[in-house]
Amino acid sequence: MEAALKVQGLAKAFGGLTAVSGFDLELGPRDIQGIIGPNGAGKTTVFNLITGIYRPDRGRVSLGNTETTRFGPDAVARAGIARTFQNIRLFAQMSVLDNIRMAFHPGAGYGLWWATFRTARFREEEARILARSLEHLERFGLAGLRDEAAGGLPYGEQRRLEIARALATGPRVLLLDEPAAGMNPREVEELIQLIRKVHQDFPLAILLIEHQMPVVLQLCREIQVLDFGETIARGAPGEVVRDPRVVEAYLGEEEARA
Amino acid sequence: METVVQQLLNAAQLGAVYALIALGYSMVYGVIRLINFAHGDIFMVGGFAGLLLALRFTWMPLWALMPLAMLLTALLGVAIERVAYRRLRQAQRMSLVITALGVGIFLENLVRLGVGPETRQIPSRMPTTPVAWLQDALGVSVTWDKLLIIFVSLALMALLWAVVHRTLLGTAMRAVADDKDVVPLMGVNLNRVIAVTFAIGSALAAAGGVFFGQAYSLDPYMGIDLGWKAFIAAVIGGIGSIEGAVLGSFLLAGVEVLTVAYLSSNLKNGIAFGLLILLLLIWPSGLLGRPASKKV
Repeated sequence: MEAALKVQGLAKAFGGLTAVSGFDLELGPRDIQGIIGPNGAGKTTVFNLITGIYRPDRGRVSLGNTETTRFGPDAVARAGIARTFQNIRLFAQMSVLDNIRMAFHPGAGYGLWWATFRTARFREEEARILARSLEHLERFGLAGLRDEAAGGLPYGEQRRLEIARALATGPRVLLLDEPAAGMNPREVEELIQLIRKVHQDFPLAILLIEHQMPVVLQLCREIQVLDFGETIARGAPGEVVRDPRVVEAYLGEEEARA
Repeated sequence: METVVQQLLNAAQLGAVYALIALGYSMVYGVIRLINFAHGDIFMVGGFAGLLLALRFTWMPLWALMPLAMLLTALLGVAIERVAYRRLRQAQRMSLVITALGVGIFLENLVRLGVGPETRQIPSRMPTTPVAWLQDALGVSVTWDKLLIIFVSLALMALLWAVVHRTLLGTAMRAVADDKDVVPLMGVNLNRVIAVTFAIGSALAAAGGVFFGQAYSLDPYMGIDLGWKAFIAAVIGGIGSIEGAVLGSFLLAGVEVLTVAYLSSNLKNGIAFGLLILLLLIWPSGLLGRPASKKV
């Protein structure tokens, strides 16, 4: 079975500081995998490298048969990788509906000429995107909030909208950066259900970064643990969390925090 | 009473030109948080593009000449963004501002070199005949060219408003204003949206330049004074806001024209800038601006 997302030897340093060194990943088409690790371990850097926000110093990223290593973030998104952020990044001042329309945007001809003269083809396209956006909002139970400013929604709903928006770009791979950050146990439970449903309903693979163990344990088939930019353990979540090196990396941090 | 109406009409004409320039300041600030200090000079180049076209193609009617001048100036705006601003987008804000000032000085001298420092006027392509029925109704002198300037400008602003609020292109522009780093992750080409913003802003400024060159006059340094005025208007209205730029422009033009008519022309700029300071003390984000939002 061919991997949906394949990452080989990905490395990035900032100045003299190594953020990620030799990250590997093979994500099957319907897989769910996780990355865990203490703060500053390089998890988000991995996401930024995969999504083209940073250029890697070394390594390759391929989506199916397409190598996306040198793609800019918009080309990566069009190729089929979508993501969410640890600190939710919606278009806060725009409506819920416009956030989704934005994600359906690339397929639309948005040339200035067509926009200005509002040709029949252009209006048709806009009507089609509006219809798809509303349907999409319906699916995520956000249709009633379509005209609300995205930044004014309660936290859980913002998270749901951000995931819905990522899915509207039609990804084959969805990257979730600490989706449960700042959630209470009940909200975490709802989020797990939501991610399960997304995985069922959409033909995609999911890679998530998470600190909340219930999320990782219940969702991920396989996880890897990053510490100081290196993978120190990899395997089924139940086994990995008992790995002494992992315990040390985490407990070390817990002690430092306390 | 007649003179007040007359002055307000003059103010509407001047305000329309201010607004066409102010929109460009506001839009560019909206998408890349740059006060584009070269924008007044882009307006000036637009006026001269109109002049050169009018001299070269004496047969060309205004409805063809103006869009052509707008197109040429739009290309200039896109070129400036591509060559001078794009690579500085991640640099310190100050580098970008100084570059914009430099581009402005470059344009002033380029035009001065090309067409000379003299004050010129575009041979008017607008009917200057009086509008009889309106004159009778208002009891003041109203000519078609004045009405044309006001209404074509308002139509362009309405068109812009519709593009920004009713189309996907406009949604993309608002999204860039909101969080430009996330826009590419929607699969949207950020550079293209920014280029289109510069194109629209420059084209509107050129329309202002072509009108201004017919109603008043052109010289290579006019963009400094008018650019500042339009910038003030955009800030008074709330920079980043389309409606604000238009409101601020008509307000500023009204204050200026009435100051000249009833107080003294020497006080014109003093009062205009004084108004800016006063309004910003009361409304720091401008009349229709959003309060500065904190972003981490």
